Amino acid sequence: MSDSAVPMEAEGGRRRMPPEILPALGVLACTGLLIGLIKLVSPGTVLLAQVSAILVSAIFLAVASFGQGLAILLGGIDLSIGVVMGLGGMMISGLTNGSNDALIWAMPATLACCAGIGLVNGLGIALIGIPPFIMTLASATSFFGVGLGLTAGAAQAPVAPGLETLMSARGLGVPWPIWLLLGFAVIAIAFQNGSVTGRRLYALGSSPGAARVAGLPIGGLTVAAYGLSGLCAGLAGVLLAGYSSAATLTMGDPFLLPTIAAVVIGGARVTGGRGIYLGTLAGALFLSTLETLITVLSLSQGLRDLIQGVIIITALIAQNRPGANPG
Amino acid sequence: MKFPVKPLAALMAALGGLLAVSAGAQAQDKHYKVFLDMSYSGNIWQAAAANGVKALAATPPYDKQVTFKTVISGTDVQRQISDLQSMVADGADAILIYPLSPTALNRVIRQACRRHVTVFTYDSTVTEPCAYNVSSITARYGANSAQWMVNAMGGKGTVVINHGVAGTSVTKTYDAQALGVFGRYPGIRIVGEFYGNWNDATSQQAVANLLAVHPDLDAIWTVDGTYGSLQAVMKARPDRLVTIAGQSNNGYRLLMADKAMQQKGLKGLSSSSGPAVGPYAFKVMMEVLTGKLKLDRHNVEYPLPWVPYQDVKMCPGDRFESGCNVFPNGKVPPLFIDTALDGTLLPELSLASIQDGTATPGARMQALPPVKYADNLPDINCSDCKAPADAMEPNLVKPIPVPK
Repeated sequence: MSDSAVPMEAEGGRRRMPPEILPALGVLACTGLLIGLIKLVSPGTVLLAQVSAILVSAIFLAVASFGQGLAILLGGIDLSIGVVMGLGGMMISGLTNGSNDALIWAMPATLACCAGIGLVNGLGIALIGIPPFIMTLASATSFFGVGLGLTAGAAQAPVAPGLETLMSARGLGVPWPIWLLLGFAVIAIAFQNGSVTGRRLYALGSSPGAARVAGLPIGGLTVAAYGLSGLCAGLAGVLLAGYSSAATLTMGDPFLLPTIAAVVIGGARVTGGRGIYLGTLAGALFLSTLETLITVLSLSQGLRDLIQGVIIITALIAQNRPGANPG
Repeated sequence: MKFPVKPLAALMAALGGLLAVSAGAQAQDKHYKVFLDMSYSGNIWQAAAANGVKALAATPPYDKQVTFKTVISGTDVQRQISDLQSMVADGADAILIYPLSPTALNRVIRQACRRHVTVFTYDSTVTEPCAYNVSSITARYGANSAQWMVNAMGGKGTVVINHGVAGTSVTKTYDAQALGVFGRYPGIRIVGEFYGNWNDATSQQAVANLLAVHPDLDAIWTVDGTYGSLQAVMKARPDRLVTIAGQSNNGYRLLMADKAMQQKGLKGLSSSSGPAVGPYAFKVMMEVLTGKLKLDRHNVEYPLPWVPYQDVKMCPGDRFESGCNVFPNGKVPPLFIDTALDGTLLPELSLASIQDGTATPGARMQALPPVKYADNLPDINCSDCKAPADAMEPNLVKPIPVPK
């Protein structure tokens, strides 16, 4: 296959920079504005501590949203992310049982299982042709049931202390989760926009028909995207378990809708083929900052949900402006 | 064709004899069909309450007297209604429910009562007068915990409110009580509020963000999500902790009791609604069903768990005996809810009962001490009724005077 099948290069060929970079920077700028607003509302705020707190609390959403971004890039969606996060957290605490030594094998085992759930999703979608939202919802429900049967809802074992330290200690004066977030972002961007597989995903997402004609391994790509989504959700769950020092089966649930919101706010096209991780990351940071601002303002739950909904709709409208959506 | 008459008659006689024997046995030792209709087993609280009930149903003499079945109705009221109808049709003698709505189940509960089914609820309540409610929602957690915090803070300082799940009657009742108490002290300033949804991870993130905005925060009021809230403070400000009130997770009780933590300013209260209300309601229900107990009123109060940091006491064994109320680290996970056990009212239960739903070896059901009837709370445990005038006031803690 040749790279000329990739529309991204056809439109934005003047540079290696994808066209989505501007909206992503715009969202980052808005995030900066929100932080300024927090300082304005509450002058006692220590700005550096605030930014650090936001970055740390954004890591779970940022990691899980990468997988959601890949599913959406293919025009699909992954509704199993919340459940997989919960299962990942439960597994890591169950397998390590408070021992650091066990982390060496428990970590890969947990991540492999979570990626496995993603693979099941991908296989159902690619081979049997089940619509992604039904497939991922059904597998989430089934695997949640398995988890519930095995654990009765809460991990009976403590999280490995090493994982807790990782989520609370500092390296070079910066909390470790921020370093992790940075490393994850670099790898994710390199994969999505730098690797052959990444570029093939764009091709498949923007035109499945053309991708088929070009002879791309459609089934393999779909399975890979959902497998990665499961892996990322599992990783997010492991980090969340370390952060909160205890795991419950439902702890990932509040993250599912925000992963979709982060991807959409970041400028991805819901029908697939467009979107970069920098945008998703900006979306995740934006949502975390918004959450903080709402908390600082002590808004009621109803108003809080309303604001989040309005912002997602605004992001969708902004995308559909004429000219904003070449392709 | 001719039937061999003699053997047939013999068979009939034998059958008749069998029937007579079993009827005699029933008269001696009546058998009860009892259902537990729980909400949702995906959270620790619900699972602990249900396991406690299961363990009691397997404890002698109930192991022989009771056919016990559990049904999980999820979080869908319609499904709970149809589940209750099936139980009545199946010939239930008694049903213990975690009700998903204070009013939506009233009609089906009335139908059950008409067919002489004894209906009890636990923790959450219904307004249908033929049902019995067993709950601590009337025990004024909001007012008592807020007053305890005010007293511990000397009547001044900044507070963050960690609400529970928006729109539930528990959240509404407790919030109104707590805000009323805090509002009486001009020195207490509420600097932030959020909906932690009774979830530790959510609470931890919100408190971490709030601490950056209010680095001098003095106190956090919670209903649940307490352990997560405290974790956030310990990570952001390890040398200066807070006054905090909330749930009874084992990890939280251990931190509260830790002298080193207390020296850094941690003053904790462990209270809130305990899963033991489930098995307690079962015990009351069985005494009513077997005729040992007659209740004059239908609203029974399960006493509010109340363990301030000075009162935490380590348990050497698997039970809450002689006043102990916390397990050592590693014996149970940090989120294990200690108020799933109750050494006074439920001495039959042990750790295994809560974790696996099994009866404690050698245990027998003990008689209940006299029950405490609950206050009326309109639209929560009764309709067309009036709450007592002091329903929003603390009744376990004596308020300190407002500092000048």
